[in-house]
Amino acid sequence: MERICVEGISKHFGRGSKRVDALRDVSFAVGAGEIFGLLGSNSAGKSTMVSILATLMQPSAGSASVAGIDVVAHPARVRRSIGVVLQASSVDGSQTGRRLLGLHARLHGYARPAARRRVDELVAMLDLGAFAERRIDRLSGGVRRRIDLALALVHRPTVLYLDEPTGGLDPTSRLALWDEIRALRDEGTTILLTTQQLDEAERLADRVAFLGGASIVTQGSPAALKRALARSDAPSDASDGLTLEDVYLAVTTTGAPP
Amino acid sequence: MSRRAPRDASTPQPPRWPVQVALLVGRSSAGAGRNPVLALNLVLAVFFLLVYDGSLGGAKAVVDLVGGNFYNFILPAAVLAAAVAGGAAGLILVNDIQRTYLQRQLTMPVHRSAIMVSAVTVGALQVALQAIVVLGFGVLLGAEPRTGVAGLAVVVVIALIWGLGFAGYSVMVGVLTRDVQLTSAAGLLFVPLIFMSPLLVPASELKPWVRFASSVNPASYVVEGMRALIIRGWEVEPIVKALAASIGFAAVMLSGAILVARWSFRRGF
Repeated sequence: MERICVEGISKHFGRGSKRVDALRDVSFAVGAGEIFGLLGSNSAGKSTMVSILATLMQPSAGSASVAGIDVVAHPARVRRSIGVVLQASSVDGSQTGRRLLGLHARLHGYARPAARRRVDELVAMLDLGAFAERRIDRLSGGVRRRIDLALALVHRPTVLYLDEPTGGLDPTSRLALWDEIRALRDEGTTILLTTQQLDEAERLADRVAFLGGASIVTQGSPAALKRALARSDAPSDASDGLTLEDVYLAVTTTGAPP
Repeated sequence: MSRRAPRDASTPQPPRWPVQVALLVGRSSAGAGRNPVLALNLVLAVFFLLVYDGSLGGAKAVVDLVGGNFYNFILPAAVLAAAVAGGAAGLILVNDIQRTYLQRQLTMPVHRSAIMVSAVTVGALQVALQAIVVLGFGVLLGAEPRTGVAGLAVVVVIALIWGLGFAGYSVMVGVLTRDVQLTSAAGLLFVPLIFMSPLLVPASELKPWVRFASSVNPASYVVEGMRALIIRGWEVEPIVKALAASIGFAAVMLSGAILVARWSFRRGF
């Protein structure tokens, strides 16, 4: 069953001559336990798509459902199924990691002892033990990003949105976060990943879609897209030397699928 | 990284609205308690108390005019000055918007109104807390409230309701401007409102144009009601007028805050 289903979503801002199309007739679906990469340049509409699916924004046209629930008709129910890591670190820096995680666990409905247990689990899972008692605004960007992820996971969401989650992280933190994302996928979590780092998408995503000119130009598995670029009738190893970067360049140059 | 615990089958249900508000108030209070501006505001309110008494309380004509104890007379002014603490509500929201923490809250199963109500509640509670501290100082310095502790409790209630209005006003400014400095400075707009009231001398001594401005100024009725409680006793009319003025002020400001917040939620942060 599809956990995320997007059908003909459009979003525009402004009116008349000032109208800007952020998304135009975008459709895709993501299954359970799948990582779907939404790729594109700056202002391609990736974060707008995440905002719509996270119920922060309503589409101008089209429909979308998450875990079978319509995001416009039942946003409150959708919010119970999703975890969100936004592009910018979204934490209350004046709190300690443990206190903020505890608050979020309580807001998601955990009773106090269960919330404490869940926080302990997350602190262990994301290696936050040495930092959990310190004010978040005194922690490094990498640790803050892990707290961001922990906050998104507090209620064990079935669908996780990661909006450029590794931006600004050092290589060690990035690799550690990748491991976590893969482990979540293996547990059955559906993950929508937006990123500009194509190597990240290539290593993590089961399927990707390229956004260009507010629309999806092409989508498929990284391997299939590379094969398409190398001409699908060629032997499979013809695509071995290609990367998603080559696909991206082809897509952005021609504005058409490879 | 260490390994994860197995996934629970049971999905928790979000808590009810009052619990959400209480949890969010706890979070915001912890942050607001560390805000040096609020401590400074309290120091200024107490400072005004001392300075007004130091400069005017020694003048026999003035003291006779206000009934013999200048601290009794000036105490409501210090309480109103402390009400600027209600601005904490707007600052909480602006800070949350700027660090995108508000957006995270909006992706959670937390009611939008719980977020707004918690911020306004923290602002109003801070006004009440500051009013209590200022009144305590006033009594220590020599004020002798005619209605005792019960009367001072009513003064705090009036301040709390006034504080709700001020918190609503700061939420409006905060959500519209999304700017910490503008939201902090928004309280300055209330300075003329406070001074165009019988703040420093009885209403009968004001010049005609100030007396007219004072008659349409809700802050005047709040000052007069508090003053009646402290100086004269349980006079029903000024107390009811003070309560009505503060409730009206709070109703207008909170309605504005609700409208602005709903519009912002629709537009997106």
